Amino acid sequence: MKKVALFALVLVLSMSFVTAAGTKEAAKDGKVVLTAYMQIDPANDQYAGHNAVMAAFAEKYPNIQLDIEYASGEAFHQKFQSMAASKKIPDLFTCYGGARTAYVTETGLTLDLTPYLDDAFKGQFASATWLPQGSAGALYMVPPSFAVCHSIYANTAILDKLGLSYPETFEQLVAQIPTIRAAGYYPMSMGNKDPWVVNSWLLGTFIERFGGREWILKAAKGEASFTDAPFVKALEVIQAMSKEGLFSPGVNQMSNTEADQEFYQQKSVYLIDAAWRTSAMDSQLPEAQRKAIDMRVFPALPGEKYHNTSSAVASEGFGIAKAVEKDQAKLDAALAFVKFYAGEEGASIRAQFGEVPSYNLDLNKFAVDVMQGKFVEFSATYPMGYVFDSIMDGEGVNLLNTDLQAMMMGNGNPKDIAAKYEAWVAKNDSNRD
Amino acid sequence: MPRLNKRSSYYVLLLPALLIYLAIIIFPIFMSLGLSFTEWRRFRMTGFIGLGNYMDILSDPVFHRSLWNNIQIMLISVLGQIPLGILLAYLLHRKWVKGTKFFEFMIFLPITISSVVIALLWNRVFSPVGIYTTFVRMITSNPDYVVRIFESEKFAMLPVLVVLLWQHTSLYMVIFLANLQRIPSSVFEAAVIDGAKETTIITKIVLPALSPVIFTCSVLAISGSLKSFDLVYAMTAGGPVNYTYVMALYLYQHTFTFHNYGKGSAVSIIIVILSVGLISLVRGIYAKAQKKFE
Amino acid sequence: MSGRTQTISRSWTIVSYILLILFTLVTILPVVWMLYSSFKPMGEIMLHPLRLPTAPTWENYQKAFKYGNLVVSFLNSIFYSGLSTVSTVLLALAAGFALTKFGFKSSSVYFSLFTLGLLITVNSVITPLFIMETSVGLYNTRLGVILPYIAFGLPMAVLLSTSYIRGVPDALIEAAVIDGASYIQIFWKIILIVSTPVLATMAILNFLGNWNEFLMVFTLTSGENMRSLPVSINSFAGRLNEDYGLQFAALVVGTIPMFILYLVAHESVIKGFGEGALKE
Repeated sequence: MKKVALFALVLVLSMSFVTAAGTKEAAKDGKVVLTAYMQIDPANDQYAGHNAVMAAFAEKYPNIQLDIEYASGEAFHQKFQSMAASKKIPDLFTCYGGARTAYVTETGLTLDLTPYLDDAFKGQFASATWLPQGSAGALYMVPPSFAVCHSIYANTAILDKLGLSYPETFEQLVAQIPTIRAAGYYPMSMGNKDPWVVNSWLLGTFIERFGGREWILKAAKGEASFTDAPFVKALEVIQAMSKEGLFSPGVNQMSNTEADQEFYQQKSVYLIDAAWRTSAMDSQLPEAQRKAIDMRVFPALPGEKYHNTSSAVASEGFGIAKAVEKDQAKLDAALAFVKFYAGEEGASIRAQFGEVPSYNLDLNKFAVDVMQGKFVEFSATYPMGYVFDSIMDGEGVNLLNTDLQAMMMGNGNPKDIAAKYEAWVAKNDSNRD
Repeated sequence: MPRLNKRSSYYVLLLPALLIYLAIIIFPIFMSLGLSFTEWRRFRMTGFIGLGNYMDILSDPVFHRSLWNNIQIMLISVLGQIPLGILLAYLLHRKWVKGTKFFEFMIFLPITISSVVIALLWNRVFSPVGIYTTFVRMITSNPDYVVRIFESEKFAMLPVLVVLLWQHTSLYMVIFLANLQRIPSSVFEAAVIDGAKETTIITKIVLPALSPVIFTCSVLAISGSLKSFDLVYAMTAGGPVNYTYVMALYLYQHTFTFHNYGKGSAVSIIIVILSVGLISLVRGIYAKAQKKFE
Repeated sequence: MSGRTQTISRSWTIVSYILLILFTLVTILPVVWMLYSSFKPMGEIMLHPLRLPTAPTWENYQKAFKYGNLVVSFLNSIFYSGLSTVSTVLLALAAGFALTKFGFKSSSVYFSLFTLGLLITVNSVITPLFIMETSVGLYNTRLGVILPYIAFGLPMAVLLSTSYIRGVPDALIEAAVIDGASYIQIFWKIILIVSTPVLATMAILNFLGNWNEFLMVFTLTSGENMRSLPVSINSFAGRLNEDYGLQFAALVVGTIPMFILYLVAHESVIKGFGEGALKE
């Protein structure tokens, strides 16, 4: 009988645990509670600034309680889509200006912030912050910064040792290959195992150099074709890079982090990576090594119209659920958060951690770590173009990326890939609707 | 408590399991069946297109490749994992080696490790900056060495298959080991005293005794391999290009990356239909084999 | 024993050793590497991946526990996996008994229905499941995680239990019926006892599957106090900016309990049959 009694006790205890819901909805002492879902990894050095902003916000607004769920990667989107399908989304959430979170922005679930942001507020930000978002030209979020997707990190210690300097042109870069290889180094590390890398970090910049921003917008709408010169030439450069042996062996089976690893171990001279890698470098590399790393953009391409461009896109920010509009207290709290995060207070805090905010700040007054400082300088030096996959539909971009990867491995040529992509876009892309 | 008659007892025992199962798996899959006939554009259902999604999928070369890759996984499961599982269970059961418990643990270990860890560790070994690659580059003085098989259109699946073999053999080993306990040890002793060869013992005693379990395991292996996702997703995510794509990845991508619930649902229905067909085939083979034994 | 059988078993012994040692090496080396790497900071892993930690540090563990809320996740994992495993195993054995020893025609229909469940991936029902749970108020409850765990565990468990119970001699049950036992009593007193070996197998496999499961807990709950270990681990395994040290530490925390479980439960898998209940 003892066993039965014990079993019953365990059962009762566990049932009470089972049925206890996980939500802490009960608002204590008149607090406003907002649920939030953020694509952020608080344990990562990259988000040290975010953590500091959240702490400052909690201090300034003790009456606002944020119940935050953090998630990262593909899983973030998978769950968010299920939420969107059931029309129950959190009050505050990470969303993108481009198509990546269109399942919440294009389906009427996200509040258009346009009426809540006056010109006095907007005027304090870089003008690119306010480019229209989504197909209806709304503002679903305030981009707190810009994601700079193209930069070349150069190990000047090795360059000096080999008597080389950063190349001015693509031809000069190619001409360096024999010297670099003879000395036992790899020319350029890049991790294209996930094939969006070559698209985000090279292709967008190359198309911009050949055609400028106007061209891509025309091509998206169908006023130009992806079989035109700017696109085909950009693909040809990538093909040439593969053929000339510029990339490290196994570029298509190396992950991002593995490419970084090769460069950190000083086995390669250049690294193609996003500009947000600087925070990781600051925390992982010895200072002497960091000081010898230069941040540049790709050398001039033969026949390019625009020079020295990198590419950037308004980074993801925080959107507010449409349903929040009905509850004035919640709406005020949510808007207070969005403005605090992107505005002066949040921006100043994030700048201390080396972020370059969209909010206009005098960045010189912040003392930041070595690589973060180089990033600030980089942002001020080079003009920023667009990021290809923030404009075109995901499914087509995915198709293109796969073909690009095959081409880098020796299967396929620029003309066919361009024709195939143009055919897909003409038939399916929402830009051509 | 009033005594239940046979039929009521039957339902008391069966219904709790059945109801939970019907509500959570069968009901949603019928929703999927309905959705699989609908067209989706821009995150919204835009209409009924009959078999349109199925036609799209069946004519997509990426799906063909996925299907072929799933078939390879199935072959390695049924013809690799199960026989190896039987062999290992048998070796351990006969206690030919010292430290059988230690080896049992070692063979069991892989299934306790999540696919994410396995993929992570695999890449730390075989990627271009991995331990193995670095080592080969050093001893062959060929700085360009990489494991070319990963980039081969024909053989890119091979590494995934090897890992699957290592990872899941343990599952079958555990099942077979538990079931070998059912054969009284006197049977083996008698056979050994009669001078029977080990191969004879395996074919004449072990295999017939295990045959219902082998059938069960084959069903598990087939269904598991047609929906395998975790390891492939973590190891290669379908790449390079789409050389290691599998059907579940195709499903995931169309549902969650391209927001096409219609097409995603159609893929899951195709997976179910294919599995039902294959399992019926195995059931047929099993029935025939049983007749032979009797 | 004759000389011939001795040489045969000697060659079998050698084959066994080779096979088993190979398997062991493949398995153990990466695990050892993961273990010691978890005591190295990310920078050291990147620059010297193979080297033993020069200055071993708990930093990764501290960080993982702090940001991943690992204590709560750990308890949740045990709870989700444990309760759903016990339920699955009991329900599956009951169903297995009903489907094999009652001789009703409907049995084969229900059995096929359960087998169908083996073919269905979580990915294909996760969105409908989310919608269902939010509409009946099960979303973000522990019960809302456990029920799907049971449902997805059942097909395989029912398959294993039916194939095992089918082998239980009918005479055993008939004798009990003649002695006046009810079917429910027979289930508790006979079926559960004789099924010990398959019960242990089912439990271990089920527990493992649930322990490493990610998608359902992640999708069907929100908030840190509901998370299981894989969800916490995934939250810092983002693809853009990985921290291997942190990941390894979390993975060690997630893997060790499974080793212990195996070492504890292993006896019942192997020895569970020693009771002699079924030696004909």
